[in-house]
Amino acid sequence: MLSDYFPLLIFLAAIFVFGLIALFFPPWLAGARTTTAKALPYESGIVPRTTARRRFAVSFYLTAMLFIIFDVEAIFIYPWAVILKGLRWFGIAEMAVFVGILLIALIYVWKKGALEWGS
Amino acid sequence: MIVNVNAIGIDYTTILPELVVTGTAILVLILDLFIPADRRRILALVAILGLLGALVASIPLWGHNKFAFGDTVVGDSFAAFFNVILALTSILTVLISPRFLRARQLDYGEYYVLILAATAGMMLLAAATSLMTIFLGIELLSLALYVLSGFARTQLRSQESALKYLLLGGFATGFLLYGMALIYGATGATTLRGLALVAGSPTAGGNALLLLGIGFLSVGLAFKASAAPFHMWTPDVYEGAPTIVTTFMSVATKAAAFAAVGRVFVAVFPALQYRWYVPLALIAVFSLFIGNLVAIVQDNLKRMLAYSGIAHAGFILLGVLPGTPDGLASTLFYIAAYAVMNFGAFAVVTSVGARGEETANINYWRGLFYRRPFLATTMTIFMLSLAGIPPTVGFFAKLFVFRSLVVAAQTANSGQFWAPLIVAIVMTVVSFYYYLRVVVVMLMTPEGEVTEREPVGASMGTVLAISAAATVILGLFPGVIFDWASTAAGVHL
Amino acid sequence: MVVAFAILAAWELVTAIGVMASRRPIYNALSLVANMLGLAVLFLLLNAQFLFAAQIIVYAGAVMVLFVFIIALLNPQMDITLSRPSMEWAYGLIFGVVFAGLILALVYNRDLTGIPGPFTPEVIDAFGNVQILGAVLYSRFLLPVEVTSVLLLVAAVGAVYLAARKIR
Repeated sequence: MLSDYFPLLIFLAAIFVFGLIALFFPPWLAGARTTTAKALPYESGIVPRTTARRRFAVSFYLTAMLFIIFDVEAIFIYPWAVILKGLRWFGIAEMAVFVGILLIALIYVWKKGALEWGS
Repeated sequence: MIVNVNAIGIDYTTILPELVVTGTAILVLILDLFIPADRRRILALVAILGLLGALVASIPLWGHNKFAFGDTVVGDSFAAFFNVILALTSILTVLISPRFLRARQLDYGEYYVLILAATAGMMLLAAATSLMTIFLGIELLSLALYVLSGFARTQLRSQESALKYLLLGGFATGFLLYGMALIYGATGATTLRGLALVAGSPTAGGNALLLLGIGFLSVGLAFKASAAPFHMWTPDVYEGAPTIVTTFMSVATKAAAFAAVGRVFVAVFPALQYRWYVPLALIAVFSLFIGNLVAIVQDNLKRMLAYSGIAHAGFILLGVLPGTPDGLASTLFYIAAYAVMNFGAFAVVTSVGARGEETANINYWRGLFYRRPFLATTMTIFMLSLAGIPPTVGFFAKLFVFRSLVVAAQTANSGQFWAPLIVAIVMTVVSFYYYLRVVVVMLMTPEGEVTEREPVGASMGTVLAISAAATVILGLFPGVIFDWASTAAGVHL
Repeated sequence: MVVAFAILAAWELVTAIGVMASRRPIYNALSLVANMLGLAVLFLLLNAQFLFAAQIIVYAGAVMVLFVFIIALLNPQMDITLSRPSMEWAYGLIFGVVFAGLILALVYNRDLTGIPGPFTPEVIDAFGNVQILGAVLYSRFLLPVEVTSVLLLVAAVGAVYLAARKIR
């Protein structure tokens, strides 16, 4: 059973090795040379004005929290979808109640303006 | 794979009270989105109607023993008994809420949604006959209460209260869940019926997994019931939360937690009583000691009542110790009595401190008899009842619990029940000091200027009058409730 | 199997210590991610493929995003380190040793017996892990599932009420 995952393990090892190669091979080949442009956070982007170490807006937290709630909902739908054929209409009704209650949560969140950014 | 849906045992009447309360919560949530802010009193009305509906829906459960939804819930007298206590507590809370919330600029519809959700969770806990539903009931009530303790969201004290409750509550939930996992590992069952079968076998007493699981489970439940040594959160959370929330949760949470304790220990594991007796007796004795001794030095009434609540958790737990339906009946009576008198006491604190939290300091209560005689009189009744002085209901609550211990000691012919009994009697005498101190302070002549008299308000007046009358009347005729408690305590699996 | 478990157990221990030991909150959080990923692989070893996926999606994904946001929210300077612990570690040590002793004493004094449930690896292999989980969840545990949605609703209400800038 465990051997089923052996290809996955090889795959993971390959990713790891490739990461190491990408990190260390080019400097070894071309030599490390630091320039001002390379040291910038975004080499070809907007020049940063202030430090990034500042307080995040509370909206991020709220979004992350709501993401978890609907993420858990999605997780519940997955095993349901797999056996829906066996459950037939009863399964549809079950999930309708489950999703319906969370739809009310969505309406609440929406109407309360929690999805509007920074207003 | 075909699933046999008919074998689930779908029966909506067994969970009708929970369904009605949940439905009302959702209705209030939707209504709140569409009605203007100055008409939020309608929400309170809808909540009360829904809770009354749940009260009515609980009546058919009386005398039945209907399992449903794959044995995860049951509709029986035990659940009905708790549903009535919980629904009444909620109704009284909602009745006195609008005025309090408006005075604090906290009049948001979410309050009623959360109170209703907490009530639904507590009802589910009282009806739960599966580890899954016990856990979900506890989580539902806890989640709602975490937010409610932080309901005054701009106040630092309230935030602190919510954060402490959340962190410690999460820790306790970890214990609870670990215990459930161990119990499942030891028995292969999640329903209490399945558990009772395994626990009744002669080898169960030597099963380390099962015993460890029961131990962790009791830690989680004792935390919710705020029994020592798992009580640390109680004073801070009770003090910081808005008083109206404290009123609700001090009564309802304790009742719901003891519903689970009663069902698990008396109905599922009576055969293991010789194993769980000592830890549970220690928790009871600890609660009695810490609650009563620390309450003496409290100058803040909310903290004093918090420690008194810890002490009462000890008294309530005494009735569970014999592991018999007779003992459980005295526990149920105590919970009903505690609900009435403690709700009343906190309601008076709410009324006195309607405009600021500092009024919970005992100095503010000096001479309350001369300033606000009605509040002082009702408070006196509640204090006498909490102390256990006849003819109030609190006296009989203690009497029945003590009697159940004496009966257990005689029938089992063992001395183990005497130790907690003696502690309880001594601690009852100790408790006279801090309860009567409140009465004495209220009788003292007021010093300095007399602050302006604020009317109590019709809803608060009614609620206080009802609670006070119930405290006295139930004390005069305790037999009725005790008969109900005896019927409810006959839990079958 | 035993070797895989031993490696994972060691990984779990090291990352769990990492969660507590570092005094930079962001490192604690990253150690927790590593810990949760290890837990997911442990689920895989127990033939619980669905739990493996759920553990990664919900915990290592969503919950950790929330943790990192909270750290960013609380610390204006993310490089700030927690204050040096004073006597707390001593209480923790005493509690931990007593706790571990209690468990060890119980485990060694009495035989540790579990009762296998109906879903043995053979049964799971015959029907599929997710299928069995779905069949059990949506029949016997129908009520707990529906209560979960109410729980999520309450969580949404609480999150919006406590964290929204302005309540309407």
